[in-house]
Amino acid sequence: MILLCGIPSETPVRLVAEAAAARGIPYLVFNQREARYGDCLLRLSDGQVDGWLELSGRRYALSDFAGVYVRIMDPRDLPEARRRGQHRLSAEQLKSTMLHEMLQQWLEIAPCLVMNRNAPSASNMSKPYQAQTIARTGLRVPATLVTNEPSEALAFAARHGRVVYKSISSVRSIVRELESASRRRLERIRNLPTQFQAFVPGTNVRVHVAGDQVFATQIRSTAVDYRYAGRDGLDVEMEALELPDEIAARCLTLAQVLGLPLCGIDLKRTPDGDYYCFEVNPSPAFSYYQEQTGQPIADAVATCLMDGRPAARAPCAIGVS
Amino acid sequence: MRFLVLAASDDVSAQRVFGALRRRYPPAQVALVPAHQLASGRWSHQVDNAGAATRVSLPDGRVLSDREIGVVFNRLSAVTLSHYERATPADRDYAQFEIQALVVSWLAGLGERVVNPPAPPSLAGPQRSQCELLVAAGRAGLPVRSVHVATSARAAPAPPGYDLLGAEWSQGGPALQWGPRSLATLGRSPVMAMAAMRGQPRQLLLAGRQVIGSTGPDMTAGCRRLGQALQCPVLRVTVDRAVAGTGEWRVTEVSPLPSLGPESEVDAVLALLEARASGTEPPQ
Repeated sequence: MILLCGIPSETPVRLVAEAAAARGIPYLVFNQREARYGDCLLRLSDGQVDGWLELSGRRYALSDFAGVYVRIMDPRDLPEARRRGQHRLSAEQLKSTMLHEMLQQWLEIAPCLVMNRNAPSASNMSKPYQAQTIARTGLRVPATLVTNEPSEALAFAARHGRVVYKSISSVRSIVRELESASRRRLERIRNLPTQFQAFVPGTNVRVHVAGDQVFATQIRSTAVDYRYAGRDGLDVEMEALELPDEIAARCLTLAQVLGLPLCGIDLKRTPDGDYYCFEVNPSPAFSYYQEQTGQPIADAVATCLMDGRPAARAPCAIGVS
Repeated sequence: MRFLVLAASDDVSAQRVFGALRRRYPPAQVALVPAHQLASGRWSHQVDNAGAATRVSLPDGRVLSDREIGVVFNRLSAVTLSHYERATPADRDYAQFEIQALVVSWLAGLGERVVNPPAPPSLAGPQRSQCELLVAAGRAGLPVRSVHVATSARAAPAPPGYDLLGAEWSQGGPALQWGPRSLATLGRSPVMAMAAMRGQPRQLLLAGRQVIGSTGPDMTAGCRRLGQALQCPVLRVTVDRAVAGTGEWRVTEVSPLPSLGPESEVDAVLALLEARASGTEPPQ
């Protein structure tokens, strides 16, 4: 049996549930919105973990789960947790918080396959940190400068021509090009270091790794950040893409090195055919790409979880370029 | 500089290690940089396929350059930007995430020169719950205090002879805190129960290959394996004797950012830093 954690109506969770049902894979959904009705026991003894999860009056041994898909939103953001003006939170809220905390703890130490655990997902909290790991797998990374010195930023821009800027951390930001208007505001970076990156021309490619399967999607858009193309009145077109074997193998290696059996890898293919890697998303909304291209990503997630092994195919060796 | 100590300005353990280094080495080779100075520095941090290169100019005029740093004793738990104190909470949080992400990347670029290395989102060593750390200790072959955690004390009664804690909301915020409770008052409330110990804890300190205060060779070997598993050369391991059974020593707590106790612990950290700086540290 596999366990899906999140909100059942959220598209990635729904698609994995549908894929599991279509394959005849038994699955259980932990619905965050109903956490207050659930119960859980964790027993830890000399490195061993066992216990049970009780949902809708039925108890499941934690050892019964071959794999877990995690798409949990911060429980503090759930509508039932955001009732204002309450000095004492209710017993139901205590129960919901406790169940969330216990599940999160179990997911970090569970012997089964987890897509994904919190600790490895945290590499995404620092993009330049993650870029150092990406570079060690042999994938190209764009030249990057983080600085709060306007003169350093200008020198970097002079060296690389076109330059973009974006957040350093995992806080989502819109990638923007450093143009004349933003150059005039450059003094503001003295307040906070900012990440600048050499602009890489070419086509955006989103790669989803699910276990040992690699799905590449080519995105055609003239927007600097295609995720926000609509805001600038620009179009986005997507189609499935076959990656060169070497790049696909490096993506598998990267997922393995980062400890992320499911991830979304942002690449760009230059007109010369080189591939650059920008970042790795540990909780990808793959449904957006699956629905545009028909790539069976949710099916790969469900079958990999039931198999209980992250990668059967051998990735490439680190350091070989 | 050969030795760089990074810490909050009130970190007594870091100051003791810095003091010990200063007694052995000339001032030019040893620097203590408080977290707030890092936050106020002028940064140039470059990353590409050749690696990372960083230069930080501190407000007091000192410059930290990757090429000149020998080894870092990293005690950072947070780096905060003081000039954001009057910003909106959203801006303050964003600034906090950004500066933390930068410092993590800088330290990661220094590689094995950093003791303890960053493990995002933590700046120094892994930020894990005690349950996770105890499981890691068990998987490293150490005997560990058994733990039983349940959302409802009634649905999952704790084994007899366990110490019971009940969960309550902390004052002023939706965070759980645990306090001693009796079985009768727990009812359907969450419970954390732990195998009873004799209440005479013993503090062990792993510093590289050394284990100060060890109870025996198996404990020493287990602490070394735990340090390797957590990628933490400096680690506090607290043990106590179990009430039940033969009363063997069991791990009750693990901390990757320990306060240092007796002078022997400072000496052990010093020996580790010197070995790292000179490249003579024996393999783990």
